[in-house]
Amino acid sequence: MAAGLLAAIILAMVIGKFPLTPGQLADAWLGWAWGNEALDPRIETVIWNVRFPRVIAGLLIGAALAAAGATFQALFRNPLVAPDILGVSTGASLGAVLGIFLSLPVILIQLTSFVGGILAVLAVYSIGLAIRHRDPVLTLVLAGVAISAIAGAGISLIKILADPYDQLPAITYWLLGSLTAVTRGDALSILPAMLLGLVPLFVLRWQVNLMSLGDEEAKALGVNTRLLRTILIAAATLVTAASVSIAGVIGWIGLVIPHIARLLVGPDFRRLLPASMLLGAMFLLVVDIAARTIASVEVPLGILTAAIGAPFFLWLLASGRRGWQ
Amino acid sequence: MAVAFALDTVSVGYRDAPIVSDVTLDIAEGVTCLLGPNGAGKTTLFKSMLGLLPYASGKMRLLDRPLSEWRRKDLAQTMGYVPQAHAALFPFSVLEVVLMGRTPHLASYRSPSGADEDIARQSLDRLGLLGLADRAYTELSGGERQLVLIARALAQKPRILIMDEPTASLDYGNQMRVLDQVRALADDGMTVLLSTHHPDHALRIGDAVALIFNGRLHAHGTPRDVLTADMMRMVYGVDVVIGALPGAASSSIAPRSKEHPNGA
Repeated sequence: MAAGLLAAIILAMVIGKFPLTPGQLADAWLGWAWGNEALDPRIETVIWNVRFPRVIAGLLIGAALAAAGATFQALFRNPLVAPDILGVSTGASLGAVLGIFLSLPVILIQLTSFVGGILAVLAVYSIGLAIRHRDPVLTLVLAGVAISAIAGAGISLIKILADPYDQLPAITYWLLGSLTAVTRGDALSILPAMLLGLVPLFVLRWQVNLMSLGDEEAKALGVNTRLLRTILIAAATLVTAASVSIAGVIGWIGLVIPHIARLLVGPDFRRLLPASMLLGAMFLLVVDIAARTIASVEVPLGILTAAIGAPFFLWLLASGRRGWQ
Repeated sequence: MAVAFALDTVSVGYRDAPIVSDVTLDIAEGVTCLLGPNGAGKTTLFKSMLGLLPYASGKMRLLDRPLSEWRRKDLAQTMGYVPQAHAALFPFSVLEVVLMGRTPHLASYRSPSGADEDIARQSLDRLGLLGLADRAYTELSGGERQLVLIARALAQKPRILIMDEPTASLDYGNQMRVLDQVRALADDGMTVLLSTHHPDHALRIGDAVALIFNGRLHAHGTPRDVLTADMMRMVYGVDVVIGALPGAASSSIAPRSKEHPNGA
């Protein structure tokens, strides 16, 4: 799996509108490592300012979305759950779409998107706390559906109000996800949120298994389910909101990748989490290579992940090779 | 015998409509069997005792400390719970399921160690399940699942074991083996509280019987004192005879023949 990821990284660095040879890539990397003089400045620019941030962002986002999906599937005891079950993607979309509509600078659009995603999940979580004497997990899911619907209505409203020649295409493109515009600064700016989210998931990886037994059984085995659920939701929401804020909505990774990982390594979260992250990173890199090579214009990632992910998912269903009962 | 768990005028269920009311019961060491018709509230009572459900009123003390003062983790180190066998969503291996029983003994940020795995294997071995260790829990029969859940509770190494109808989904052979295990655990010093629909099981392994009927604790005492023909007729509406078959280790209960209304 690690070898596959390395191969995907190298491919993602050399393939593109300005093709490089693996030799040039190796020269640039070695040159950087040894502190040598730069070679061709055009090659340096492509490698360090165009491809490198894109690959780093792709790795981070692919791994993060898959990790969030695997976490939510265990937490909500449902293999059909994706990271946006609690409305994080829709909330982040509303934030970004509002930013585009107000013609804010890119950095502020990223910020409104991140805040929108967090606010949506906070709203869902507060509703979950306010409604007592119901199954807490079911309450959260239903509140997520409601908040997503409200945010979705907001997005539709802004689309109608937006300038159809300038803003509307930008909004549509953003809603389908892309790594085209990612800069080195973007990749760095999401790093703290990514670490803040992924480290707790990794540390609590054993306890996540117990959450998939359901609230009562986890409690009977000594787990503080309310605290753990809060931490897991916060962690998965952070990494998803960070991903969406710089790359838009990239669907299907968080839903499909954990399934494949579960088929490969089983449901134990101690192995499922790293396997999902590796596969997610690899998958997004490969899809991104396809996105910038199959047509003269870049294809939005959301279109490709759905076009590849959905048929694969149907095949999983039909073949009975499922990691759940 | 020492009291492991004391209930003092406890009512469980909803506050305005309790399912079982005013239960005052000292659960002593050994095996206590909880009997009662379907829907009597046995599971609700168990979940309240485990701190999984709030209860309406009364006082509960575990090892002479009020239940409300127990931290969740300490509670799980002291009381093991074997729920009724259920379907699981994800295909965890049997060993992984049993390892989950070690969780109350781990810090929240820790994963089970090799020593925990040894304990899990010992628990499986004790129930003769070591051969299933690598099988997927989801592929097991209902009876095997029930046994695995018992192994998980053993890995928890609790002082008190609460079992919700542990024999319900087992075939006759496995029922007897589970009962023997329960008896052996109690003889090793574990306090066991189990619910069952078989009065025979209480006669076989019970040190005490508690009978819930009509929303009350109807009777409590030794199996021989509580499980009388009159009681069976009243609670279950069945005329029975009670006695030991030649060579049997314990008494059994059988429906009375209609042709011999006065026995024999």
